[in-house]
Amino acid sequence: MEPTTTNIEKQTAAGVDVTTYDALVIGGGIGGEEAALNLANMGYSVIMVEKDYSIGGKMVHLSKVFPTLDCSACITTPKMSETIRHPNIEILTYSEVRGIEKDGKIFNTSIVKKPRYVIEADCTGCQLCEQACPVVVQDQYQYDLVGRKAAYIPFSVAAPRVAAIDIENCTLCGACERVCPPNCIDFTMKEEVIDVIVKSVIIASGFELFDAKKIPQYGFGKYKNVIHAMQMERQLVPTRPYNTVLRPKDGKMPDNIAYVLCTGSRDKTIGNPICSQVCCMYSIKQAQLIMGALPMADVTIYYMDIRAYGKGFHEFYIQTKNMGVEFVKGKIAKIDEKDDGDLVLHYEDIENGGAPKTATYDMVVLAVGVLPQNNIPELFKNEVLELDEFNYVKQTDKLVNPGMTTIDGVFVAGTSSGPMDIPDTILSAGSASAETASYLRRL
Amino acid sequence: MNAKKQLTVTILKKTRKASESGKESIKAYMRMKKKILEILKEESKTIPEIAKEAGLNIDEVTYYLMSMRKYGLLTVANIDDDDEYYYYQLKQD
Ligand SMILES: Cc1cc2nc3c(=O)[nH]c(=O)nc-3n(C[C@H](O)[C@H](O)[C@H](O)COP(=O)(O)OP(=O)(O)OC[C@H]3O[C@@H](n4cnc5c(N)ncnc54)[C@H](O)[C@@H]3O)c2cc1C
Ligand code: SF4
Ligand code: SF4
Repeated sequence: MEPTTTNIEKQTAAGVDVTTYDALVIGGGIGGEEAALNLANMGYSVIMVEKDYSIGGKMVHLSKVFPTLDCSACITTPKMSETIRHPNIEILTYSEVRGIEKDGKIFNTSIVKKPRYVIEADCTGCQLCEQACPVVVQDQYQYDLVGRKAAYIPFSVAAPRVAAIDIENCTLCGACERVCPPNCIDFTMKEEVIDVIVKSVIIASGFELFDAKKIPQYGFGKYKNVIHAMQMERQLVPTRPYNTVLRPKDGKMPDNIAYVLCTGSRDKTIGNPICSQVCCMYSIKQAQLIMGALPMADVTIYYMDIRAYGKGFHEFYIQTKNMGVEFVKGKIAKIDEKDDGDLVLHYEDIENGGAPKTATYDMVVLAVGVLPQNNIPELFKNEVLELDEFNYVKQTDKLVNPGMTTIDGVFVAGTSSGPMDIPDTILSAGSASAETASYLRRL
Repeated sequence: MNAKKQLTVTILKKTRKASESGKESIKAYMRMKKKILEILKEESKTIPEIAKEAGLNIDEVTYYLMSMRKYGLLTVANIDDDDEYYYYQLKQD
């Protein structure tokens, strides 16, 4: 089949007008964006469904990327804009796929668009609603380090850059609606169900962060100066929650910071036996960035093995060592908090015969691992999307067609198929989109 | 601003209650904001100084002070002599 030349095809199925797209992309992270853009540039029509208020995935919230130290948001925001503006891509944000049913060569798909209580097309992103709103709750895009309003623009480079109302925390005072210049706040908005027909599906729903509270002996959530790596990513960007890298407990500029690698990875006891692939490298990257932000600070990385497997990674690791970052092969047994907020690490000093030792730090960063989003199979109502032994989407022909899954016409891109870094996610999305295009041509 | 239009929030209010957690968060923020602004009226202070003076939990002071900074009520001044804590001050207009 030739690619459709118009963006959207209207088809009549059972007497009802249903819009048809060549591909449905589930998830608008870097993997989903790359796959959607590749298909759209070949002339295929794409509908992207993103559950968050903005596309961009985790990458848009990162500081810089290893090993080049390029600014992550600067690389990813042009891609987000291209995706948003592409005439062959329709995007539904704050939406979720409710069900996909295969019917011969097509997939009948039902999507739920949840109300954001702001008319997207009319919002100018002026933030007057945000200034007017009296509510202050934890900002999930700053990983709870600072507050945000109930009427808010999710983050500065959100795409679309449109406000949303957090109805769960809204007191219905109306202040936001009163100040909105284009009158685009609409509290009568309701959930909408959108039915579409798609000819193929790409799963790019990405990964979940390991919840560090599942290892209570590390004190995350209880000791404020124990943070996770995404929180450190946020502390290292220009749109950071604080004025520089500071302790969340008391705003002290830390003098010495420890990293605990493999938090929630390679650990059968918490149900994730595999390596997360990125934690060693992102911790090494963060160590370099901390030395730039706080030139007087000491950074120590506690590791099991350093897995610096990619091009230039080993050199980046050696460079970081030469900059003065200390690497200790040690397993952390527990972390205690002192009255002044300092943290005592109890560890097994593996290089020195496994002797139990302690060391004190101003701040500890848990290098949390990545986990699968394993609720995707539920979306398929009459076909079985199998998962692999680690609960990632199963690749049925990993070596030759890495995007292929157990359902004909359904492909997988990026970290939905396993932990990987950004360059590998882009490669994976490239092959998923090529396999999808070849499938569509054969239809 | 458009005074002529009926507010849609009044329509939702007929079927939905104002959020309790939202109301609590307003109370907590207003209480902290008042205390922090009061303490910073005369001179800039560090977070431990504010917490001590106001008898407040230090991690709450950090969270609310940083939120006030985000919304433009405070700015950062210099750091203390030990290079440990920054001083924060009211935004001068
Ligand atoms: C702390 C940290 C630092 C990192 N630093 C680096 C680095 O320096 N360099 C590097 O190369 N890599 C780094 N990574 C890895 C990088 O984040 C990933 O490789 C990349 O984000 C994977 O992209 P993705 O699109 O597969 O997934 P994600 O970024 O997770 O995007 C998935 C998207 O799908 C959406 N979604 C999820 N479920 C659904 C659903 N059911 N319906 C609709 N939408 C859904 C999500 O909201 C999200 O927008 C880091 C990771 C972490 C945790
Ligand atoms: S109506 Fe809700 S979102 Fe709007 S200003 Fe009031 S509390 Fe904030
Ligand atoms: S909803 Fe209205 S007030 Fe809020 S950012 Fe959009 S245009 Fe501005």
